[in-house]
Amino acid sequence: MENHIKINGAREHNLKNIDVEIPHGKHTVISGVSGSGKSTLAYDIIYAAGQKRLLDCLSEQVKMFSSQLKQPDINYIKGLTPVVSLKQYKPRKNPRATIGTLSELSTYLRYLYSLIGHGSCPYCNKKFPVRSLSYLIKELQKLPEMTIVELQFPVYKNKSKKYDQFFAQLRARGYKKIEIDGERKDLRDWIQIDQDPESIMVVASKIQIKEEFNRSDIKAVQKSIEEGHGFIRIVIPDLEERRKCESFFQKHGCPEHGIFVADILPSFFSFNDLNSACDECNGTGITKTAYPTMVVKDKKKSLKDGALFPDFCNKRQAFKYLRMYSLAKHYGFSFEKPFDALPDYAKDLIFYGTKKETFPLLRPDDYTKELPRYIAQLGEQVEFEGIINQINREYQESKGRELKNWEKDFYDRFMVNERCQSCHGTRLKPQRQYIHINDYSYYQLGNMELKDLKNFIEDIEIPVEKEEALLPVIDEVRSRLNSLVEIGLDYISLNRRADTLSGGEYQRVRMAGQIDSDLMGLTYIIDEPTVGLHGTDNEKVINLLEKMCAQGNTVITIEHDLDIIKRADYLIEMGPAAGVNGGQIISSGTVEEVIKNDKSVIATFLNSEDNSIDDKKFSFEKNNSIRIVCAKENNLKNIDVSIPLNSLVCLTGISGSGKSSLGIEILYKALWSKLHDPRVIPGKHKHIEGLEKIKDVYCIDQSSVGNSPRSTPATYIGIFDRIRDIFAATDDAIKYNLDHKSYYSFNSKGGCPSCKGMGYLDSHIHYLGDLQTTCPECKGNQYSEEVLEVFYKGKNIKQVLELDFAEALSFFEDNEYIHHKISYVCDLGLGYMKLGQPTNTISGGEAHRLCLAKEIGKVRGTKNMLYIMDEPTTGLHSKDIKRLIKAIRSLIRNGNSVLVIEHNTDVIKDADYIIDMGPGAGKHGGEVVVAGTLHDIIACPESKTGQYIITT
Amino acid sequence: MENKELREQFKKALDSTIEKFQDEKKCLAGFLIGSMSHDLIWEWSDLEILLIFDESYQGSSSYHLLEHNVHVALNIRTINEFKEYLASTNVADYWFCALSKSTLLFCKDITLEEDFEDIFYYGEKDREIEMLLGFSNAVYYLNKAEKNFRVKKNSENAIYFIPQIAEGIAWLEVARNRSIPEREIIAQARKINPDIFKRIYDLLFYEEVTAELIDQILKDCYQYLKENTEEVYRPIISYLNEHGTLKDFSLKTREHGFGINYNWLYRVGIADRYIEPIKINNQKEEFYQIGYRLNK
Repeated sequence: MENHIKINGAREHNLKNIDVEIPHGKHTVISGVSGSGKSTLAYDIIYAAGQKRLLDCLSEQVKMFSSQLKQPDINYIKGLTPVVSLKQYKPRKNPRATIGTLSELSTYLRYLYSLIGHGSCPYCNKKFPVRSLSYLIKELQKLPEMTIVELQFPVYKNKSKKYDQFFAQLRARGYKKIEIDGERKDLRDWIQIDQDPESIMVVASKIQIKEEFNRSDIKAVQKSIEEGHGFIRIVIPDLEERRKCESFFQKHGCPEHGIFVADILPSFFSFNDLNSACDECNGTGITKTAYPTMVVKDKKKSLKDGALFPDFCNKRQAFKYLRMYSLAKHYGFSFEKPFDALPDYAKDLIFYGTKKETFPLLRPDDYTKELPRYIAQLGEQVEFEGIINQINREYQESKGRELKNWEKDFYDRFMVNERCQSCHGTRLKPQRQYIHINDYSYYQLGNMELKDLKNFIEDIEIPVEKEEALLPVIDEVRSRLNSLVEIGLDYISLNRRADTLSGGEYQRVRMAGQIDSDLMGLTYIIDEPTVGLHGTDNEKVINLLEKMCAQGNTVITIEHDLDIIKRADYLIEMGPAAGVNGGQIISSGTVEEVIKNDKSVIATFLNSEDNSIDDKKFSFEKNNSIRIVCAKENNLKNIDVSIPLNSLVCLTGISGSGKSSLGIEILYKALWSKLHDPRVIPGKHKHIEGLEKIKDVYCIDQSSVGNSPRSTPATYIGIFDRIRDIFAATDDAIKYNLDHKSYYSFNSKGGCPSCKGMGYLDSHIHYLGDLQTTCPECKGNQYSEEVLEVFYKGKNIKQVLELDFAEALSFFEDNEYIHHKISYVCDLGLGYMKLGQPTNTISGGEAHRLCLAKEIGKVRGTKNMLYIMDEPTTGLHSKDIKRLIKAIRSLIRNGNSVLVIEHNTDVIKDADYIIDMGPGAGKHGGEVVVAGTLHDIIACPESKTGQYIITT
Repeated sequence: MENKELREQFKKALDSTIEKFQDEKKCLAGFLIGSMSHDLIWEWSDLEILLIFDESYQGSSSYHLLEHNVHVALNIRTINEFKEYLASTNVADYWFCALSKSTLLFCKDITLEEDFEDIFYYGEKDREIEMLLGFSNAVYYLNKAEKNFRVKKNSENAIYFIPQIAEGIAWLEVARNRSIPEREIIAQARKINPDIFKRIYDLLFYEEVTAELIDQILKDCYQYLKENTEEVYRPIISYLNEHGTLKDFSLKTREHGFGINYNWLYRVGIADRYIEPIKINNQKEEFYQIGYRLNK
């Protein structure tokens, strides 16, 4: 076998016919400025070739697709092993994916609960063992013969369901008797419930004890256990007989309440299992609720002029309009005054209705639209249930059927997600909370931070008789937990939703999963594994990468972090610059070899001993700041934080210390809610002082650019419309009758009809997921043939989209608007990016800079904006970071404020004011360790950030 | 009058059949159903027996035997099938009625005996729902009869509907009395309230049927229903009293052709109608459905 992956003559994208050798079984870092060709080498050459060759080895059906995969432009590649890519991207929004499901730890923990969980009585918390059905039956058969045993099971009602519906459903299932708090009721009678009872038991059947149960008896016990979701109540009505059975109750269940637990299966704890998921929220843990603020469109307007969204009151819908008018007249509030001037009782009527009271339907003098014939007419009594009540009711009624898109949009617009009131966020049916291991329910275990969970697992005592079944499960849990903890994710919990993880955290969870798979002989391509990690945690990633190599794998990382680069076995430096000026290997070899290479750019940074700290002066002015009071979101410990304005403020701290909770969840959402969308509910805090000083807020994070393959940087920064106008006005366009700009959009008339303007076709291969192949009709050009016949300055629309921003700058030099916008993109070092690159292929760092370029291009003269940036240095070479800081400074010079959540020391050193969160992660974090200038941070021995800066 | 010898012959057939099954360990219970249990028998009667076996039973569910020259119709159910039936059955079911008049021949399972006896408990909720259903049936046919008689001037069709009104009223009377409805329900109800059936049913057989008579019968039917409205509609009126409207009201009934007729309350002036917006299926347009509230 080859000792290296040998690539000869790579010419893909900007690569200059390069030859590369990457050692097997080692950790190789590909470094270089943005746009130098790092990703092309890693993904478009190594990954693409690896994927195509792997598919070629599979079945004929798969080959059909692989033959359409684009062959990388190279002479040859040798010594390739199967390639796995661990890119950074935010997981899709999906409330069902959690850290538990993602890491598969939930699966193993479910086994653990089914194997060694013990039951506890829902009414007195008495603990008892979980039995199997067959064991319980054997024990029942040992009771005195002829004893009459009544079988019952507990049931739980949803918050949203009414008792009469609930009882009717039980009756429809064939049950006739229930016990409510011990009192026997017949479902054939009316049952009045004034107050939620503590227990409702269904009387299922009776059996008579005999030496050997017949099938009917067994079935009766089994059915009761099934209906009770593992819980059964055994009642012996005759007191004398009951006394004789005391030891049975003592040994297997709760002697006081007669509760027993049997046949608990792993699927009992899966919220993705329909039988186990909470009936109310179907296992998502959230339900939707309408909020009054959301239905108000403009509180400065009157009801008459459109204070409410048109869905609830508008002049075109006569009945709704007249009813609102009549409501105002009948209850004596104004239909013409601004909504926010209305008294509270009026708002209450509008939102929550007349509570069964009726009022006459009236018509204002200036309104002439007729009422439809089939509804109430003028003078008739009508009722109003209130907008909020109506939305909530209709939403409840729509459950159980598929919603149309407009309905989903409607509910999304006017409702917010809230914790499910029935399961309180556990996502499971209530019975699951009564199965414990060491006093922890499955849900409680999922809320533990991983490092505590690790200790919990270590403390579990395994019964000897279950060792054989349990040890492999425990080993698997232990190993997966170790990987996650070792990679610095010890502060997260299994119940955390995967879509709340950052791109970096998500990548690390996947990396931990790869370690646990114990596969060897693979080539891993990992994109910036240190993103989102505090410098002090870099060591953890390095250890993990070394572990992957030690398992016999080849690891290739694209990385800018000097800590990682210094520890690499092999370094490939791409450059010297971006785009057409890049694509060469300027140095390669061990770190020592690269450092000695005169051509290397990174060598300067690797050699740098410069640890000087600018003696920056900054005076905190109370009048020019905002103050978050009593921040309590997630792990924040009721803290007050002041943030100076018109300056660069850096929020630092290790992962999980509470930076995002403070910066995004509280500050950004509070501002967004106040200024734009009241549906956004900010994280827990008391109030924010000085919010009025901020005119608008803009959050720039990895998702800002969007994730659509149909969007491009040209559309994002707003130049594509102009480019299409230019094409529509050309002589060719007029000649071919293609003189409307819609022909030059691949999403509209101009798109290839076969692939609908995508340039590729999606095929789904069962075990390999989605596979993209070039569209055979347009050959990847995205446009229909006739559109490509239209030329401007010798290029058709596709060729223009293929231009990078640097080329486009000169191509459009005579168009001031386009030229101006493009120049900002180039200034931020994105000159190599293509105008038509799908935005879903743009890295997080590129997205940040594109956003920034758009904002700088837009905000000339705009003041008092607050920009919140989440790790803007992601994907940036040390050289590019300087450009970024320059761009940020230009925003501040224009009178704006910038709050950056960052780990990068270059940015931290440049910040005017630093707020260091911590000291630890999760429950050990959530406090401000120190806030002040860089000197203050360094002077604070408790600040991990300060200490890290001193050592780097 | 029943033939004594015939009964004797049937008895012998019953005894000899039961004797063969009673000692069988897997046969848990036997019921005599049909005419032999509750009525007189004649030469074309058959002897109907229901046997309950344990779950190991693998034979057919029905057999037709000849014992002492008597046709014995043997129905066999496993205990689970039978218990499931007991759990799901209701008064409108033929077997429920048959079982209610059956004779328990033997039973080796005390729990089965308890379950069997329990199904005949007539709860207050069930009683009121059955009254409502009978009433709604009667109203449905009264509307049909009135339309034919008063609008279409079609007396023949009107007469056709009158026995069906009577049947609805009979169901109501039987339910009110907490009795299990029988096949000949009008006869059963007449024993409870002879007067109403004399006025709305018997006249069709004993008097010359004229337009005046039909008119009178229909008026009597209406009057009877009107007079009974408050009692029969008690659950609904009491809900309206407490909650104002029926928006969140639901009353789950057994499968029934017509459901509950709420509009009657409006017809007799107890309730007023108004409209309330609703969405139908997932159509974007809003519709308006009838709502009811009590007339003040």
